[in-house]
Parts: sequence; structure tokens; C-alpha cells
Amino acid sequence: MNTILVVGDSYTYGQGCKDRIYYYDNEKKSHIGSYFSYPLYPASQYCWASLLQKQLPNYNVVNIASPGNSQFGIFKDTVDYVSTHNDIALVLFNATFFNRVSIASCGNPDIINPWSPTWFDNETELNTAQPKYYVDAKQGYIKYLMSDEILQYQSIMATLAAHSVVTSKNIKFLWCTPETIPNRSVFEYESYKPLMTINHLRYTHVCRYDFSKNLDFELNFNKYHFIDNHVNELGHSMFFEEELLPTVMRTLNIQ
Amino acid sequence: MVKRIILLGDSFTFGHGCTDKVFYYDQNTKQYVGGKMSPEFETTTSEYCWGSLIKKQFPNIEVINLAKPGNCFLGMFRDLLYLSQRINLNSNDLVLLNGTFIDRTEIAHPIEPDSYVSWTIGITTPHEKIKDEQEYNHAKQMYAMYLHSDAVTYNQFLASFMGIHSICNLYDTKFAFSLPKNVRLMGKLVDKFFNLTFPYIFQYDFSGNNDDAFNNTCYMPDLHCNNLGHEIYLKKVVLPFLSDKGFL
Repeated sequence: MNTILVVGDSYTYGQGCKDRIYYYDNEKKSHIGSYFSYPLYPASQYCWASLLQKQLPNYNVVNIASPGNSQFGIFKDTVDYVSTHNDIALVLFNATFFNRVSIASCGNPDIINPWSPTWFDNETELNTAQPKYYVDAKQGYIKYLMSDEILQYQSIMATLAAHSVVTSKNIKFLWCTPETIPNRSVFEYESYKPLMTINHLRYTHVCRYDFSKNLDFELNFNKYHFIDNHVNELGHSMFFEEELLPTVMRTLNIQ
Repeated sequence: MVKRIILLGDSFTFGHGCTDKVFYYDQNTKQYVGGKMSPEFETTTSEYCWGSLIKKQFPNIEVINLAKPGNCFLGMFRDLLYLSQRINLNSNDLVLLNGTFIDRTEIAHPIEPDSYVSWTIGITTPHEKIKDEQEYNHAKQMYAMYLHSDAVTYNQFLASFMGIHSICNLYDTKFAFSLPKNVRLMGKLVDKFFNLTFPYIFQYDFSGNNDDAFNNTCYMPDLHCNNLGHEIYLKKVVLPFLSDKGFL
């Protein structure tokens, strides 16, 4: 029982740290950096999960977070790993934005791909070569079939489902969600109240961490976030020291 | 013995097909038969469905039947979630999840986009009140063709199932389930659930010896189960299961 499983999206993968830079520059109209994604490339060596591995050498920290991951994708990652490994002590479930959905991959429906309707506003999506029918299907979904409320409940469901999968194997479970803002409870949002039942297992999501300690959003962004809004290595380091490590040590009863 | 039984389900658990909940399209006469599928129709479950029959047979047990025609797994999760906010679920409660077909999901309501409806993926039906009905149905077809896959729906089903199970766990509520024959939990992870399952009412062999002629007497023309089907199912499946597991 010495594996700590870390699941999540780009924030958990460490996109925005200096070894994992990839963003679209609106002025230059081009991508900067190289596209990294798990499992082709491991997570950043500067992300909090990598720092956790260095701090706890007796544990095997497995970070399978992947940029762009959806809530159902993170749930599936959890199920796939937990159902095939027996040595897990703790799962750190880093939820993503509720509007990330799972859809069939273009041309290979057996593969599930994450996608966010908000990516249509993003040059990245517009510059990705996709067949017209696939883009039309996505646009039709946004215009006629999508509902924020449905997506919010799916998001809650995936988190609760992961909790059930993990704890039913007697593995400890901690979670966080980016659907918060610093200094405000996630439960001020009506639809998130059902997650109150597992609030005692929640830690702050790295992208919502108040590095300034006084809600100085300008400082938080300018110093601890990369220009694409991902958290940089300085942010990951501070988040790790102040929030993540104490929570993990307490949960695993490490002195 | 449990004090309260909570039923989650679709039309089969609702009792669609029982004498007070008859509504189907007759292919021969090309006409609808029975009541009308409407909010009123769906407000109360049938008094002849197996959930109502438990209530009659065991007056000390409260039965809350949340089943709704057309319900999908996500809807059942939501039904239990809402209930958990209204009443104090506890260890004297038993949740019976009576699943549905996994090709059902939820989409935005065509008239009130802030609301939602259950949808059987791939099916398009006429909606007189929708302004741009053609585009709406086209969006549904495109979703079914290009964005949907078995892998996507199975993952949603598993998340719904485990989400419902999680709510039960969190409130220390007992849990059991039945699923249609073509819906299976897969993988090692779900081994622990196998002793919590009982046969699903649809396609159940009411005769006990695969007597199709008899089995047909338990169904309506639209393949929902009638009063007789519900009675037999209660007697042969539900009560023995509940008794065997110590719930009764």
C-alpha cells in the first residue's frame, strides 16, 4: 500500500511550469512551446505531484493527469487504475471544470476524448484540423443539447462515483475542484451542495490557491500563474508546501 | 428489517403498462390507446406496480417510488441526490436501483433550455412547439453519429451507478440493484456488487419455464409489464430477494 495515485487535468499535469509550456499566443497567432500530454510525456518535474514524490521517497507517486481531461475522463482514469492495482494508499482526485465533457474521438469511437464547449472560443480549437461534420456536431450540441445544469450534475456525479470506487477498495480519497474562488466555499453554489457530504476530504485546487493570502488576485496571477493562466513552478512549489503536503501527511498519518 | 424502501427507475418500475397507467401506440389501429403521456400521468406511480404492492403488503414499510417513464441513469442519480437533501437517509433505508438502458442520457429541454429531458440517443420525435425543429433534430442526429459511442455511454452509466452507490455509502443506506439483461457491470471492480443484484422485470421469465405464451400475458403490446407481471415479479423475485438479504 505505497502508491499515491494523482488524477486530473493540465493543472495537475503541471502545464505552465517551465518544462511544460504550451499555449496559443493571440498576437503571434501561433502556438508557443511543445504539446505535452500523458502518457507520451510524464508530468512536469516541477508540479506538486513531482514534489510530493521527492518528499516521500517511500511512496510511489503516480501522476496520470492529462491536459484537457474531462470530469468523466478523470473518473475513468481512476477506475482503470484502481481496478488493476492493489497497492494504492491514497487517491488525489483533482476535478476539472464542469463543462468539460467526454465525446467519441473523431474517426475512432472506441476512444473517449475530452472536449469543452468553451474551446470553440479558443484559437487552438479553430486551428485544429477536424472534419466539418465533427465540428458541426459539436456546434449542434452546444446550441441545442447542452445544459450547464446537466453538466454540473455530471461533474458532481463523477466525483462522488470516484469516491465510491476508491473507498470501496479501502483506499483513502482526497479531492478538490476548480469550481471555487479563493475564500469562498464551493457550497455557495447551489448545485455543488451535494458534495458537502465529502467536504472533510477536500483540499484547495492549485488553480484557486490564494498565494497572496489576502486575495490579491493581481499578485496571484502575475507571480504564480503563467500567462495562459496555468500555475507556474513557483505556484506549484508554494501550493505543495502550504496546502498539499500537510494534507497528505495528515491523511496518511506520516509524522 | 428496513423501515423505508426507495425505488429508482424508469417506466418499468413506475408501472407503465398497469391498468391505471396504460398508454401506447397501437400499430394496427394507428392510434394511441389509454391515458395520455403528460405531467399528470407521470405524477404518481401505478397503484399496481410492484413498489405499490410492497406498500400494501407491508404497511409498516414506507415505499418511496421515484421511478419515472423515460428516466435515464443520470436522472436516477439526480432523483436520489434531491431526495437526500429533503429527507435524512439512514441505515434503516434501502435503495433499490432498477436501472434502464444505457443509451439514454439527458439533454437540454427543447423549449426551456435551462431545464432538461431524458433522451434515448438516436431517437428523434416530433416537437410541435419547437421553433427550429429541423435543426434541433439534426443536432441530435449529429450527436448520435459523431460524438456518441458505446465507450462514452458505458462510462456515464458506470459513473451514475457508482454515484448512486456513493450516496448510499455516505448515508450508510443499504443498496441493491437490478439491470436490464443487456446492461452489465464489467471488470474486477464490480465483483463486490454481484450479491446485491436481482433479476430485472423486463424480459423476466414470469412462467418459470420459458413459456412464451404465458409470458406474453404479463406484458402490454408496448412491452411494458401489466398488473399480472408486476404481481408475479413481486412474488417470485422481489420478496424472496429482500427476505434472503435480511431486508424484510
